[in-house]
This record gives sequence, C-alpha cells and structure tokens, in this order.
Amino acid sequence: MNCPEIQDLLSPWLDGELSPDEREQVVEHLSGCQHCTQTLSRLQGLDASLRSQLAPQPEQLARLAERLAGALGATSTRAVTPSRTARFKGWPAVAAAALVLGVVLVPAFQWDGDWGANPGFKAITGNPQFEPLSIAQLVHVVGSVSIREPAAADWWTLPAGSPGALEFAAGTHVRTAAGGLCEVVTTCGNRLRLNESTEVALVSTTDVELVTGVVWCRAPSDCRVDMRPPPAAADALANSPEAKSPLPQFICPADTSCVTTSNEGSPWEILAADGMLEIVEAGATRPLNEGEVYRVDHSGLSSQSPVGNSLTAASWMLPLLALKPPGNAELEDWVARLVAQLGETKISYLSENQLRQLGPAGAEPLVRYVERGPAPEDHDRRRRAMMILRDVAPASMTGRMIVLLKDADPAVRVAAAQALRRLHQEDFGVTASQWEAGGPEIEAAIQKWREWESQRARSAVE
Amino acid sequence: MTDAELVQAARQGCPASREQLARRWSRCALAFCLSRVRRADPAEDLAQESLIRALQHLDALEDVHKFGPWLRGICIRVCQDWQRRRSREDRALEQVSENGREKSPLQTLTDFEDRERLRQALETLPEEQREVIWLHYFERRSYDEMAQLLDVARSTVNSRLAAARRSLLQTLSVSVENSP
Repeated sequence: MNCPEIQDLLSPWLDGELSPDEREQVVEHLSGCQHCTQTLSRLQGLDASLRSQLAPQPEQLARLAERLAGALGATSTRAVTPSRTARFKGWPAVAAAALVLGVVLVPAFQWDGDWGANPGFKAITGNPQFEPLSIAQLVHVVGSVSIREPAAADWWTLPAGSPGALEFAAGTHVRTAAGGLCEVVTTCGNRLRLNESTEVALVSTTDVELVTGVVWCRAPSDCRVDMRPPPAAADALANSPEAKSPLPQFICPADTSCVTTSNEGSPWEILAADGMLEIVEAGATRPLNEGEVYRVDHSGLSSQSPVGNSLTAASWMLPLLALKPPGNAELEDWVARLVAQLGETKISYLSENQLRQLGPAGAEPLVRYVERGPAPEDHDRRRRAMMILRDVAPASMTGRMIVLLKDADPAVRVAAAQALRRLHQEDFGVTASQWEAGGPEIEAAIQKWREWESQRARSAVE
Repeated sequence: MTDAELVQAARQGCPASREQLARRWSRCALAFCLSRVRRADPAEDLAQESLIRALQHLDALEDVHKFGPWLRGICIRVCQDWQRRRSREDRALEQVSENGREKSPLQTLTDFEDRERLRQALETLPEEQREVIWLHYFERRSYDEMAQLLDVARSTVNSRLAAARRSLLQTLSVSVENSP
C-alpha cells in the first residue's frame, strides 16, 4: 500500500476498527514511513484532545436524567422539573419552546406565565445519579407478573413471555399472579424471589415491604435486606386495642438467605433461614439462629420455634433456578442438598437391610447426607449412613471417602478408612483405632491417600 | 430487554419500560443535539424535549427495531424547529452570551487550554461530520452502531470520521500558526 492508502486507514486504526489484515499492513508501513508516522502522531494528539474535551460530564448526564425522570414522572403524580433554560426569563423564544414542552407533553402541568412563581412547580430532589430511578432489576419471570409504579394507582401486567432486565424505581410494587414467579435483584446485589400470589414493595435497595405471599431473599456479602410489613399493617396494629407491642421487623444480614410469608394469620413469618437473621423487637435487635423460625401475629405477639427447612420452604423456586444458564452453582447446590435430604429421609425411614439391598445405586443420597456435616442430635443417623457406605460405596466415591477421612466424627473416619481398604486393599499401615483416635499418623495417611488419588488420576489420563 | 421489547411494553402502557428507554437513550439524544446546536444548555433542553416527544408518540414508530434512528430524526426536527424559532433578538442575545455570559458545550466540559480553538474548529465541520464526532467521542459508539443509527454504510461512517479528523487537524494547525 502507498502513503495515501495507508493514511485512509489511520483514522479507523486509531478506533480499533480495522481487520487484522489491515492492521498488519498499517503497522508494517508505519515501521518504514516517517511521513505517515508523523500523521499518526498528530491524529493521536487530536484524538486525545477530543476524547478529553467531548467526554460527557457526570453532572451533565445526571442533570438530564433527573429532568427526564421529573418530566416522565409528571405524567403520574410528580411535577416536571423546569428546564434550566426556561428559567432564564430574558429568553422568550426558549421559554416558548419550554412552554410547548410543558403544555403539550406534560398535560398535568399548567403554566401560569411565570416559571419561577408557579407554586405547583416542584424540583425533583434526590441524589443526582445517572440513573436516579433504578434501584432494582427484574431478572427472571415465570407466568404472570404485574408492577405498579411509585404513587401510581394502576397495575401493569408484563406481556406474556416477557424477558427480564426491566428496571424498577424506588417504591415500585411487584406482584405475581397465581402460577407466577419472578426474581428481582437490587442494585446492591440483594436477590428477591417471589412465589405465586405474592406482592412486595421495593422501598429502596435494602428495604422491602412484604405485602402478601411468600418471598425468598438473599443478601450478598456487602449488603442486607430489611424486611418489614407495609405501613398499613404497622398502623393497623398501632391503632388496635389488642396491640401488645410494636410490630417487629427483621434483617437478613450479609451472606444470609431466608423464606418469609405474610398471610391472613400473620403480618410476617419466617419459614426458614440459611444463616443467622436479626429480629428487631421494641427497638432492640436479637439474633434468630439457623434452623429456627419466627412468627408474628396481628396483635404483635411473636413466637419462635426450632423448625424450618429452606429446601422445603423454597421448593417453589425451582422453575426460576431452571431458567438460569447451565452450570449455575446455586442449582447444583440445590440438587446436592435435595439429594442429601433424600439420604436423610432414607436413613430415617428405611431399615438398614433395605438400604443395603439398594447397593451402590443407593449410595449417592447417603454420601451427600454424610457430606453435609453433622446436625445437632443427628450423629447416630449419620453414623448409620456411614456404616452402610463402608460396605456399599462404589470405587467412583474414592475421592469423597478420602475427604471423609478428616471428618470430625471418629466413627465416620473409621468407616471411610474401611471403605477405602475394601475398595483398594490399602490402609497405609494405619489401624482402625488410630483412625478413631486421630493424631499425626492419620494426617500422614490422608496425605498418602491424596497422592495415591492424584497418581491414579494421572494414570487414567495417560 | 432490547429496544424493540421496551418499545412494545411501553406502547402497552408500561411506565418502567418508557423510563428505561429514556435512560438508555438520553446520552445519545444529547449527542445528536450537541452536534446540531453546539451549546450545552439548549442541547439539554432539546434532548429532553426530543425524548419526551418520542416516548409520547411511540405508536408512530413503524419499525420497533429502529428506535435509535427514529429518535435521531426527532432530535434533528426538534433542533431545526428550535433554530427556526430563534428571532434576531435571540441571535443577538446569543452573540452577547457567547462573549462571556453563557457557556459553550466545550467550556462546560473541561478547562482544557485549547478548548476554544477546538470548539471553533468543530463548528467549521459539516453537520454530518460533526455528528459522527459527537457520537464517537461523547457517546462512544462503534462504527457499526453509528452506521445503524445513521442508516448509512459502515464505510460512510469511516469516511465521515476520517474527513472530520483531517479537517480538524488542518484547521487547528492553521490556527496554531496564526496564534500569537
């Protein structure tokens, strides 16, 4: 290529818009052409100037976003933010343009001839971010879901099959119909899933009012969910002669999830939780331990009891999890927990003989159950499961048996070592009593088992 | 959601979809208006007016997949109307303001020492070249996106942007030579 041809490519070259072949030709030419290199250098200087001087300023975008929010909101209840130019009284033509905007486009607003003095003219306040309206996003929908904009009276139903990624303003209500489910993620990462016939109000990124139905929520490591009944329920209780105390609220702290319901019998009730929730009662906060549930009735009386299974309480979420891309860790974890629960059910309700008769095919739920770790007062069942695995675990579970060699329960360690000896005729010279006692010998043996496993994996690949 | 899905939902009365369209396109509308009226204050007003007008008349959009090009058409008409409406007095006022009372878009953007020369150089460009400059530097649009928005070939976007840069370099080098 000659210089004029190369110079035609310098502009798209700066923008990264050339094909690999063209890029190569430009680079090759530049390496031997001082004239084109100088042109490129000047273009780069111009590019840097334009880049710095034409870049949008955040406050400029925030101002426009705020004004748009005001103008759009004015069609429901809010008044429009006046255009900055329109406030400049000495500019009649622009004021006229703004008048056209105000009268034609925002019929709720009436101009009285004086922009500054109009009493109905309220500036939209709030943090001027680029997207001041958005506090949450709808990410998954199953069936029929409706939304109600802040301060609006009407509900609007999403079209059937509507995908997610719809953004919500603070104060939006979301409602699922019978058979409907949806998932909402707030800007701080809180995840809410609504069961059918459920309604919530998204007050802010962290505050949620549960109006009715069943909601699962999870807070990420740097946020939390404050769940409370709608103000109407709290007010009704405050004015009720039977009221015993202010209506408690609860907090789902970071890295915690829970399932909550609100129904005719209770303004809210925690059905299950993974992690320790915080209950706010009469101004004081106290923890609710994992595995406990909590209920408030309409007179404000609360009760606490040690039940609640998050798998059962949130099993309605499975259609939402199935919408996620393959390989999602949450679904895999869910399946693992379900299988573990199946193992727990089997060990609780089937006789040992029946379980042994299932052979290796029945081992998966049992090993999942054992891997879940010991629950309080559950040692006996877990040990019984491990005794069966000792005799039926297939060779494909070798790695998992090696992991169980480190279990806190001595009986589980012994059974795992015995399963490995049965499968591979190897014990590395460690006796059952040594596995039971723990100590340095078993650490060395576990290391040997790991090396043995790695070696076996390498051999399989070769 | 795609623009087409948002448009369809907004047509059915979904306010959230309407607001999302406004958020998604506000910056681009501002770029269209800045490239035409060259002054930040009216450009913001006109971008707002264009977007609101578009959202109020979504039924007039024939191809829901072309919200961007359609919005551009509205921005152009709104800017042209605004320019026509300006009376001589307004122009005189603007002349006064340009001498110090009001700010140009570039002046509001940065305090770069060459901004005035760059502003003047930009104003010498034909409108279609100025438009790709604003879309590229203000809105960070790729060539393909600009081609789609402007309803022209990608090669046309390339040639407009290259021509704009050549003109700017030439104008600025003359300006530097003439500066004291």
